[in-house]
Amino acid sequence: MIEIHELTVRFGARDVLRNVTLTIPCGQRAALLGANGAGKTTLLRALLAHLPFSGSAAIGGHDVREDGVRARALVGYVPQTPAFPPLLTAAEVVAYFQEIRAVVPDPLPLLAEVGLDAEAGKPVGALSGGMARRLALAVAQIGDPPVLLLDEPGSHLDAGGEILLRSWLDEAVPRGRTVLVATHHLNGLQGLVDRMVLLEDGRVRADAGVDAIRAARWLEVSTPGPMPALPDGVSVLPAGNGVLHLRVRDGSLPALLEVLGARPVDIHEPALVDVLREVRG
Amino acid sequence: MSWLTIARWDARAVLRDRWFISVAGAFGSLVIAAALVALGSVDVLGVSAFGRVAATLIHLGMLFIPLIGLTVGAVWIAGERESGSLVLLLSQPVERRTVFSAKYLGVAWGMTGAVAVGFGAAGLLLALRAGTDRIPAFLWLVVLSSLLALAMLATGFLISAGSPSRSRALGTALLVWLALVIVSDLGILGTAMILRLPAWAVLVLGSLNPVSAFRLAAIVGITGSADLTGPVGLYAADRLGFAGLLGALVLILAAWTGGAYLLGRKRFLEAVEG
Repeated sequence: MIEIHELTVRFGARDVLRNVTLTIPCGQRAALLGANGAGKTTLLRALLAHLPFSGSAAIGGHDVREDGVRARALVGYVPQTPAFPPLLTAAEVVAYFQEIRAVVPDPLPLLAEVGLDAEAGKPVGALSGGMARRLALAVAQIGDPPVLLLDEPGSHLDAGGEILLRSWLDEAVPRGRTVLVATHHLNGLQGLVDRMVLLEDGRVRADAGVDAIRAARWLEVSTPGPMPALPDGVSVLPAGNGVLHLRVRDGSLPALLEVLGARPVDIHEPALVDVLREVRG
Repeated sequence: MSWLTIARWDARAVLRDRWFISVAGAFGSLVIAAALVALGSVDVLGVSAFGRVAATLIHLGMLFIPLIGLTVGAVWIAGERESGSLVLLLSQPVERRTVFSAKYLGVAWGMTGAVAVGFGAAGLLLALRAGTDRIPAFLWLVVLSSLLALAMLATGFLISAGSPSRSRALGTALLVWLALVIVSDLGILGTAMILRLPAWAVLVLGSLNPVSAFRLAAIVGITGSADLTGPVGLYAADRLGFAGLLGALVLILAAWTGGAYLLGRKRFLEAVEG
């Protein structure tokens, strides 16, 4: 379980995170969403006690500052930009972190799992961005930690890497892992998280379960004017140029299409983040 | 035993570091070349050849050991911080103070090992050509060089601990090297002349510089007297005695190592935890 209470991080005169309170229970996979600079990476780094903060944070009941070694023993972390001891090979990096976590060094099976067995002898400096990301995923699995903190884990990954990440997140549920994924887009991760938390300007703006978000979801319909008599469950969104933008709640679409008759229509789903903003939780 | 793991891997890493290999290689080559040249005339000069080897080694040590220790130490943590690899290490279940200590021990292990190998080769040549009677004096030089390496490495780690970038750390390290190796003695001499400092003040100021302490301790230890150390050394030997002077100089090197190490660790903890 991850517990964050009134956590504030200040860089100079600027509050990067403001009074963030969040509890992620055991076995839940939560996505931490937000634009660049919203404070996602800072929150993950605060959970690892990499920077000073006020308030409190605990992982598995261990305060991340007072009892940091025990807290970090529960965490597998994939940083935003993975970097490794520069003079080691991929296999040595895995062996190094295995030894640190008191796991018998045996890097090859883990490297094979992330598709890097052929790169085992390569210096880490020679790995591509995607390979470095895969290596970071391998390192984060060492010791089978019950909590995963993933910072933009999908960036730089090729299709194979994304499949690997998806299967990894899929497996998190039966293994009872708690996952916090920071990302500015949900591409590839939809359906793999149970909850979404939206950070804006260092504050939690919205926080809801995926089921609640799905239930609140609507469709958006664009069609040329004029305005018809709208059925129940349909509202008007701001628009221009003689085009109508309508928000249609679940189940109201057939009635609306009947009203619109033969008019051309464009139906699309809003971004999940927009729905999340309205649900708030 | 995560500290041992980190130390072992850092020792391995330093021996793969291109800068370290280049400078330590140049140092080792010069040490061996100096020994060969000086010993070339051993049949004519006998044991006095050792004095020439020792003088050369002391001067090489004064230049190279601070350069290696300061620069390697300065970029070690700052480089990892800049590249981001330190973040992953600090995310592991290891005390932060252990990370600093283990990294220092690892690099120290690799560095003193390299110093010992370089001097060991010269010592072997010396033993083969000039006999083994001067080996204890030679070992004294190896011990002092290792102490100087530890002091300079700790100073490098102090610079590295709070530096945001590798280049700034390296720049600071080179300035400190210039100050300790080149400017310090000239500055003290100038200050002594202008301010008419008493001998004890010149002694204290001079000896506080670990490079000067190394030089004094090496000359006094190898020659068995302070005759070659100038008026300040003679004054010190007169006041402290032979053993007292050597003890004080070794203590200065040890204090410099401990002080820089503790300050560096404090700075490191402040930088990673705020």
